[in-house]
Amino acid sequence: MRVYKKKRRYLTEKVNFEIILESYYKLLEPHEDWSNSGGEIANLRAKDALMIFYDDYINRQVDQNYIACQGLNYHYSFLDDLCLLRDLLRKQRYREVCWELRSLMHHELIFQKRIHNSLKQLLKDELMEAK
Amino acid sequence: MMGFLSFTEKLKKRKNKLVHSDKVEKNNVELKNGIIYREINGRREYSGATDTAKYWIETLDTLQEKIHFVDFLAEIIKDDVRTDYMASIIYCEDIKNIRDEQVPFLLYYWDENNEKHFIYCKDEVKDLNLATDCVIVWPWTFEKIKNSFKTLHYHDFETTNNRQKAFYFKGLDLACVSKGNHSTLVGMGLKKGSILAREIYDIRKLFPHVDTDGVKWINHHTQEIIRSVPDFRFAILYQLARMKFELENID
Repeated sequence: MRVYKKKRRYLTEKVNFEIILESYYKLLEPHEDWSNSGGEIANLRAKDALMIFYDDYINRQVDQNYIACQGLNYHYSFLDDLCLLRDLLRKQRYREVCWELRSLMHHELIFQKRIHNSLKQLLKDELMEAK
Repeated sequence: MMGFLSFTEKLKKRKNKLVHSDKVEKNNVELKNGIIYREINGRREYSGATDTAKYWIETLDTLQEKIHFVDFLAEIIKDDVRTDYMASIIYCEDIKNIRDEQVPFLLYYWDENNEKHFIYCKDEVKDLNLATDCVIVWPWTFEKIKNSFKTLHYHDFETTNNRQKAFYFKGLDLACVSKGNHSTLVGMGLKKGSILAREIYDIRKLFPHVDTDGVKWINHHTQEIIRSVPDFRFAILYQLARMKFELENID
């Protein structure tokens, strides 16, 4: 089987976004569930994890260099994900939010300004101020 | 399971050795301990497959037979690509080695006046049946497959929540998933469910303007290289679709 080396686009001289992303993966992975099963307690634990993520994410420095999306994505393809996250947050399906958020991190560059601002605002409105 | 993993590791090491060894020349077939290994050369594979297709097409009598034969070849290659990409996550232990999602075909071309055109079809959608249609997925973690399986094994596949995002290539009858890779993969494995492709691209618009040699997409008018082909099998599929289009449009 042929194996392609994954091109990592986050490495800059100042901030290693790769390491930050790994920490986010570790934080969200135990809580993610595609169908939000596991009961109310698991759902609330997922919400706590999302709050920890939010607190860390808002204080992070954004990538100063513009990087265009690659693959099948385009500049605003993250809007789809944001709409879905907004829906799920309103329905309080936090385990599904963890799932979708990790997918967003994989497919999009969440430290780019265009995504950072929108995601920050969404989490602030629908997660932090809705508690 | 452990035995299987260790076998794949050994296989990988052996392959790496063969690639970096000075003894093995490029594209040579090496038979060692019953394992045949050959470095893939996209240009060679592409010309081999297309030449074979052309040869067999010429031997057939009727136009209808020829078209059916091209379809038959394309289906075999599509099945190979589909299952290969689906199974890649099973053999790949390290997340850093997984395949990156790629755009399989060009989504634009330059015409004879050097004007750029996109092949996007407005206001069209396509419902894809995961049991029968050729859908290519790029899974990137096994955890998500496990979790999707737990849900989809007992429940129906839901499409109403728009959690999958697919691109459909008209003229090739092939689709790619850019989001919702794992749930789509499980649906394909369980042979149930359908997803909606909201972006349609008509590959037939490329035929007069884009050539390929199996490795690169080439501008037909200027012979300039546009971009590299991510997988030589996409180039073969493109060429087969082009052959079929030409056969269908013979006066």
